[in-house]
Amino acid sequence: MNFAQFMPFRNMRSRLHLAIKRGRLAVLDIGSSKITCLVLKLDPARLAEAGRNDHLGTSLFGAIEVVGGSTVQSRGVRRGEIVDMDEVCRSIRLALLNSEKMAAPKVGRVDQVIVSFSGGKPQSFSTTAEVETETGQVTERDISNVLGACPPPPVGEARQILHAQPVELSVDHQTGITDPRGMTGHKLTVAMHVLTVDARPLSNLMECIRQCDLDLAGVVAAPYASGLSALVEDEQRTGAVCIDMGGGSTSFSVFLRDHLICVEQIRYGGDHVTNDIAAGLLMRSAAAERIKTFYGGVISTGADDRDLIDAPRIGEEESPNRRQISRGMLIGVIRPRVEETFRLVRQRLVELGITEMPGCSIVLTGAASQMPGVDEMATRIMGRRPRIGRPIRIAGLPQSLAGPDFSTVVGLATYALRPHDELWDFAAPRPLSARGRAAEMFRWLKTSW
Amino acid sequence: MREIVPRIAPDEVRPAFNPKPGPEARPKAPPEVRPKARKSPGPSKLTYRLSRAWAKPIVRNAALVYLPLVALAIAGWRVAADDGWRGMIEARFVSVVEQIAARPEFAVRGVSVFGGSDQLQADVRRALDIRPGMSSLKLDVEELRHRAEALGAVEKATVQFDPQGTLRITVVERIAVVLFRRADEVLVMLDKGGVEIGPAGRRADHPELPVILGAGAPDHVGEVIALLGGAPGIMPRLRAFVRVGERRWNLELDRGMTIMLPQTGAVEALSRIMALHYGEELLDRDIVVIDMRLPGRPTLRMKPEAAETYQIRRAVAALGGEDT
Repeated sequence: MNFAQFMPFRNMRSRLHLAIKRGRLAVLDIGSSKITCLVLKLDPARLAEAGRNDHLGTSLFGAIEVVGGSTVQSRGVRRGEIVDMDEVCRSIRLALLNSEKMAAPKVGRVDQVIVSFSGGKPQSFSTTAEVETETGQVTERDISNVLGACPPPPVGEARQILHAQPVELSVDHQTGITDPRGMTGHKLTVAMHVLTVDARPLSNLMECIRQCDLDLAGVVAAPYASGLSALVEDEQRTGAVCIDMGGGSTSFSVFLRDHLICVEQIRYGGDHVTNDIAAGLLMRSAAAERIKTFYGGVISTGADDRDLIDAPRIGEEESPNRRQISRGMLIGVIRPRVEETFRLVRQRLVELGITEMPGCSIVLTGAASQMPGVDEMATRIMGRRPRIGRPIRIAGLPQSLAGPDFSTVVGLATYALRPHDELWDFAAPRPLSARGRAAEMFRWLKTSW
Repeated sequence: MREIVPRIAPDEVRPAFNPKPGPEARPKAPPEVRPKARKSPGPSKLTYRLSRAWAKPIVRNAALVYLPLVALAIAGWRVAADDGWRGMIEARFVSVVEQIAARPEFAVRGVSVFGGSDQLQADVRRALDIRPGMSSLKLDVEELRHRAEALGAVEKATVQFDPQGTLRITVVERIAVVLFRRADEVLVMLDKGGVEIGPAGRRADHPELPVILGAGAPDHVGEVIALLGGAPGIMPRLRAFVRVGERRWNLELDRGMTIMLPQTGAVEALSRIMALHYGEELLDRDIVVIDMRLPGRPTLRMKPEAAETYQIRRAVAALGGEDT
């Protein structure tokens, strides 16, 4: 793969390091229905110490504290993609200012921000490469070489790589190696997960962040972030699917052996359910959203036919003889769309062969997973009982931001703490020129003594 | 052949459609105001930038601390450097202070003097010179006390300004115990410590007070009092106590009699004389000087004629004769 194309990502990484050094960072989840911002206070010393001692990062979470957070309605975003840049910028500014105001006693203003990207038709590829080690012992140069030797996936026109993570390094067919440096072996093999998205919405997002005078310290695919916070570590290791049921779209990420191996998106979400209610019952969207939130469900019971709900038609919101419908009727409108969504998810999972994966648990998260009966429906369709995944607790997280609908933004915070190694965290492979040799010798001297 | 070209003046040529309607044309309807699309409640870019700039400590400090300080310093320097300004400010300040001081709440309601004789109280009032209605803010009670104590007749004074607006002055008067005739022949009153109280006027005004004379006499008023206390009967005959050689006293009595007292044991010596007087009318005799300076050897000096008479009597007595 060509390392030169990842220069923007390298810049983001350096900004992230700068933010960690300064001890303050904002994470921003730009979703279709809400924009959530958290201001984090980081402890660089503890972070560095934990990074040395603890490879898995379980002790990391004391190094981070949420000092400000706010969530605002998202305007100008549809299906995770920006359709009105000005509105989105205003919403981002509002969320950031509110969070900064809340964080003002503890940290100053934040400049670096990690954002999530939930649109752009994410597509996962895997690519593998194998090289001979130069010295019979794996060095950093060998790792760079093998990463460079990975054939670029068929990215397609107007698409861009968002994540490229080496998920499996093996030396002489020994798998499960977390750090092969210094190991003896002749063949170094890498399997890499490459996530591509549409380049245009991504650059729109970056432009929005730039217009808000913020430095982009990372762009993370939203389902990946949700998985990072909604899945516990054991699930990430043994294999799990995190289904993030958002407003504009439903997406899922698959984790195995601590690594993200697949991201998919289905373009149905909670907003579609609202639209179904509004169109099917001839209601305003706001009223439809309201009755969905308060009374919605997917599994109807006998009692639901007797529960009457105010469901005013358009124009009769204020009239005394508003229409009333039974809850069962509402469920009857909601159910097909949710069922369709789950069927599509299941179809994708089957296509990917993930249903064959042993011990693969399913975790539902996102705002739409709070609807009663969703887990029951998922059990019926997927054949596995899912768990409703709430984000992991990090210090200072307000209770109002601790529900399943905030797992993406919390996942961004954990990503900021210990990002998985991406391709651009490795040095680019360099030919061993005379100057390169000298530099290599110098580095060897430096590392040895 | 006639021209069939229509005779129309060039200025009358008008296009079929006149885009510029004349003044008689109907006023155009105002353009339809379309409601602006509702914006998101987020802040505008300017607000956002300003508030984020404000979040920077350096900007906030500059705006809240340094800039006002610099402005204040420049303004203060300008004002201080300009005499006109400074004069105006001073005049204004003084006038404000005067106005405040002149308020009736701060006026002195009255002056009351306690202690001492009426004469002394009048003297104290005159010396302090405080009229009711003066501003109490201008009073300096310490200075008033010094002024009151500068009066000779005042031994101690306390000056208080009570919240009701009355100046209360309490004085302790000095009591005259002796008169002192100074070297310049002026008769002054002294208290028991020898402090001068004031001129005494004539001797006859103070018959009850003894007169003392001589250099260093005021420093030993206590001795005079002790002497008088030991011999109160001498007072009617006493003319003056005279300090001799700044070390001892002479008592000048009437009829030219002088009692010379020793430097030490003067009280005992005088008592002895008084005892002699009561027993033998010593002081009524024709004696000029009773010299008690040597304790073991009191000496009398008689008048010359008395001495002569004495000699004659002794001679007659020696002869066994009788007085003629």
